[in-house]
Amino acid sequence: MSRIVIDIKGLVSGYRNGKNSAFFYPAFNSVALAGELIAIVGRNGVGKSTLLRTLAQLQPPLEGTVSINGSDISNYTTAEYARLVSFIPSEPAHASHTSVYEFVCMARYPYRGWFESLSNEDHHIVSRAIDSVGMMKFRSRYIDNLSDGERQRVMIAFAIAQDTPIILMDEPTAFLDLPNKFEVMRLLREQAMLGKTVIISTHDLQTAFGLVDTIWLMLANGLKVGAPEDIMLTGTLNSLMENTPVYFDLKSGQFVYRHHTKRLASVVGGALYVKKWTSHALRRMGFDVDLSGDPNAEVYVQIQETEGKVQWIAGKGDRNPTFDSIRNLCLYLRGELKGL
Amino acid sequence: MIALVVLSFIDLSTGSVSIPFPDLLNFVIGKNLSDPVNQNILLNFRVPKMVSAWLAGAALSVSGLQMQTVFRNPLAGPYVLGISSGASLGVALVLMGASAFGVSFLAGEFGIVLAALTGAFLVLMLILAVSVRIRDIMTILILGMMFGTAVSAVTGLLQYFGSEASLKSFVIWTMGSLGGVGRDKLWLYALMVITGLVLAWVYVRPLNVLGVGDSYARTLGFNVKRIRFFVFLSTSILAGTATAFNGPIAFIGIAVPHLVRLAFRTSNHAILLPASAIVGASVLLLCDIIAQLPGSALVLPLNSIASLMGIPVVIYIVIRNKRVSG
Repeated sequence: MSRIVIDIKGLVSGYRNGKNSAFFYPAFNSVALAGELIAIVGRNGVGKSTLLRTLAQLQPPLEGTVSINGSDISNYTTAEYARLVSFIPSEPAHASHTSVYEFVCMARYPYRGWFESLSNEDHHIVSRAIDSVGMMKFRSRYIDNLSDGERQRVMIAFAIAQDTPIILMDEPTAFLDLPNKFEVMRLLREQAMLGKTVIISTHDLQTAFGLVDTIWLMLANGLKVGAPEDIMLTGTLNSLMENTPVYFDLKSGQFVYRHHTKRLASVVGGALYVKKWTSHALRRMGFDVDLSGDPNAEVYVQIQETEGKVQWIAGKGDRNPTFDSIRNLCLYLRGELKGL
Repeated sequence: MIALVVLSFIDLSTGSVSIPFPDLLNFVIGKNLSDPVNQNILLNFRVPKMVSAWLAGAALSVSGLQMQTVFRNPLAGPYVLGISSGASLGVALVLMGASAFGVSFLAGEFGIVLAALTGAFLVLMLILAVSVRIRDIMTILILGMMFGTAVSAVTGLLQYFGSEASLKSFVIWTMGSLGGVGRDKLWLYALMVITGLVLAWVYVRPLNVLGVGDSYARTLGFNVKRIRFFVFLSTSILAGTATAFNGPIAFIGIAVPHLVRLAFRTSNHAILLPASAIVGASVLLLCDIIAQLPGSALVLPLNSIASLMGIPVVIYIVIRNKRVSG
């Protein structure tokens, strides 16, 4: 087992409002290992950002302790801590007339004295960091003129240049398109492979579950830790969606919106993947789907494949309406049946 | 830099008494002039005026730059913290309070400077006390503006009850003037501005990071509250001193940092800060030259000229920002 880098014991993080009212989240214990890529997952307001900000020492823990490399975080000076932990907040850095290069250079300040200018080595590190996220040709662009995807890569370059064994990022994949989400996660994974501990918060379950080592699932009653697959298999994921119409369907591996109509549709014939996506469409329309040809089904869909062409037939007989796309099938059903 | 030298020279040459060009050259290279009147005018009036234009221009521009960075607000200026309101209240108290209570010895030149400094520093204390307790920069901005407005309201009350003569002196003070600083007080003025500028220079690197965001500054190991404390201290010394000696001079402090940013296209304060000081000094000299209306004996109020020159810059910035964000 890898070395323990962050050790959290009985941590309560949160905000104190005034003297009396305290607003915090349940105490928990956890560890983060060297080379581990961790995603903190949880509902809005459950305290993901607060936890990250506590780990970044932007706010003090209300109770409990956090130790890094065996020493309590309060024992480090702010300068030492800046060489140990980099934190990229979710609000983007804004500064007019600041180039990507100038911005990433700031990440080297913790290594230099008050008046000491950056060394050649610092400039090498900055260039390498920018290069490693593929932003070399943007190095002279102003950070205010970047797209969300480009900016997030620059942020990762910033964390790389700060050269800390721990990288914390608050919602690095928010507002990104799918390829950029995967790219950001790939870059973070690369950092973890170098032995760094990377902890991010995210709402993007699909990307997170596909690419991280460990999920810290923050629930109202505490923290659940496990590999993404553990979280799915034990059904823990569904406690995330408690009291909501959404649930995680273990068989399809998808999040499903629970409809109130209890109507049954039966799908027969065709290749497995065509059946899967036809069922997907019917579920979307509010049906429960049966694949065994249940005679009580309200709707009966046959899939026929002839010469590589797929057709959908609504009804049991031969002289039933036939469709060449799922969209047309759906439009027909919506016209025929009430309450869809 | 060249502009500063040229403008300084032109500034020396302009005024209600015209001085022949050879005399001016001789004076600059340190020779005594044949005409003692001209020598006297240059040495005792125009040189102090030129130097106080340098000092006020540099002080206000640097402090405006600091405020725009710390508050991350393009329309912040040296006066957002209410420094000039504090100075105004001090001056109003001396000018109008003195006439009301019959104590006139305070209302001299030095009394006004002292009163303005006291007023500015009292507001500064309030701001510093707030800045070590409150983390959110927007709250500090709002409090600063509220202090300023409250202090101005008190000044308004004083004006309402003040005598006509004292009211006029006060209004003239608010119009700004570079000529009021005699050679005897110039060293004090210079010393304070240089102190403020040195303090500003010490905080160049933190200012760069603060401009990007407070969280970044803190995770890079900077103590944001301490940085703010000293930046506010520096700003207050600069803006407070300039206001005390020259009256509140509008818009230089807001417009010059923008001019510099546009010209140098960087946010590195190691460049912006000295550039603001030099450009600020030059711009104020230019304002002063225009205010003297070369070729005439008339002198216009400096503040009006500074505003008329500064406002187009601010309008340009607002419109340009709009275009960028839209």
